[in-house]
Amino acid sequence: MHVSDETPANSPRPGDPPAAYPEGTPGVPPGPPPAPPRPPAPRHQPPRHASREHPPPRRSREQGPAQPPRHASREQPPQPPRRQPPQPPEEPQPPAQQPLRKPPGQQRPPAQQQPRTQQQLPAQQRPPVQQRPPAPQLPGAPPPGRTAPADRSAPPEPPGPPAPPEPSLGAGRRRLADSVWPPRLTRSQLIVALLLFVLGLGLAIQVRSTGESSALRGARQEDLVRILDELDDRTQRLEDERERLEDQKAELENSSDQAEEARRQTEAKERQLGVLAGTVAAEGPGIEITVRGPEGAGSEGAVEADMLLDTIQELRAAGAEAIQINGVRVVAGTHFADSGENDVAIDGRTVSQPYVFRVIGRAEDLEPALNIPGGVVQTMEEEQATVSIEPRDTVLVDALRREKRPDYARSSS
Amino acid sequence: MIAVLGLVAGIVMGLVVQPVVPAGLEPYLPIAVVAALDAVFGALRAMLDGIFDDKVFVVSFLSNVVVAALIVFLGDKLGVGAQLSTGVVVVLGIRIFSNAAAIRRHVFQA
Repeated sequence: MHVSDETPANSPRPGDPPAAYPEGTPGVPPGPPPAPPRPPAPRHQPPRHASREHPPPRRSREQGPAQPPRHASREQPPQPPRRQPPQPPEEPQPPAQQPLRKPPGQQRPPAQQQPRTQQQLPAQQRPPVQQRPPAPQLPGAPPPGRTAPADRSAPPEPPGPPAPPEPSLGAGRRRLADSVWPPRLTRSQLIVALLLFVLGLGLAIQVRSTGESSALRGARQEDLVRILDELDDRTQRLEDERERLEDQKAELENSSDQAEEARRQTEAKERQLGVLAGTVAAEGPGIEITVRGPEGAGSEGAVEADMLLDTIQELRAAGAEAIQINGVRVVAGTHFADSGENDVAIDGRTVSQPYVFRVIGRAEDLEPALNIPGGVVQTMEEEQATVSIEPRDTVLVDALRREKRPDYARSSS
Repeated sequence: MIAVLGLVAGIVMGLVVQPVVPAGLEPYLPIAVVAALDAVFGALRAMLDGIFDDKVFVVSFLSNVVVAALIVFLGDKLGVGAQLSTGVVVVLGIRIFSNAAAIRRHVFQA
């Protein structure tokens, strides 16, 4: 982004390059002699070298022809470091060319550039500013035909890739260190701080909100709707229960004979629990299911325990309240096992075909639950079993389960 | 330095105060954050190159954020919000990587 942003900024510079180059042209042809010029006019030359040593293509692209004057003020501190690194590498180069360069190139640039820069940046007090302009100009100076090629060719460093990075390395690090350590309270620092503050804020908010609801965040809309519905249902059920319990409480408190009322409620509760536990016979509307295995005895597709278990689970999920199979009451702890070709052990008692389920519950709920595609009935029919389901107004579940009394545990309430 | 302090202060503030983002802006926040990160990396690179300019930074930061949010908004309106935001993240990610590579070259010379 910055690259692109800064290119426009460069446009103001167009005038500069021509001025700077003429000077360079004479000196440049000699090529490498940048080092000598330094001593006389340290400010100007250093920038040049630096620019050359950086990878030329990248520089020209990023920085463009020139940077806006403002940069200069900001970057003045960092620049000094830049100069130094470039110098050492250049010194080794042929000294003979130095003289050539010096007279034409160096002396002019200082004179010309200084006035110019000052005009542009009246506010800037420091001379280092000038260093900047020269640097960009060199790479970005394609217009003057001779100069540009000369400049490029002049620095022999580019061919050797290792050389360029060093100066930039030092410069970059130093610039970083400069900008970090002595904290300066400048306008740009404050503005940047403000924007970074906003960024940090957004980052923190986003991270926090992402961490919070990660389970729901990725869910699809339909799933979210379903979850919401379920929550609503659950809320409704809990509300109902709360209401019921409050009614109960009110009855207990207001009834004239509180003991009688309490006994009545307890008995009701006991009956309710008895039906669930299978210790009490139950009667009510429901369905009767008859499952017959395939006719040929010993055939492969016999109805097995797991199918019965699936049936029970399906019935329970659909709201069955009491179930018995061929005289065995099915409760929470009931277990199924295959015991032979045509029979199944339920709670340790052998039950033979046909299996007759008596189920108390809402027939309208139970029947579809068994008949859903891919459901229990279909699965059993695939095994050549025949299944018939008949709704009944009255189903008697009278098989009982022996009540198990704990030997040691006593109710604590 | 002050800039770093600003970043830290922002993060701390976001974690401590836990401000609530208006629901309307919520979808744009993540993409805006990524765009802003891109701007910050670009600025860091420019600083190392010695061409940092606060005005350029401010403009690029804000325009990045706005354009990214705009693209997501437009994508939502066109029904391709998810794909477009993926595209934006990919592009910004590539730029962040290239800027990070330049920064790395400066700092580690490698």
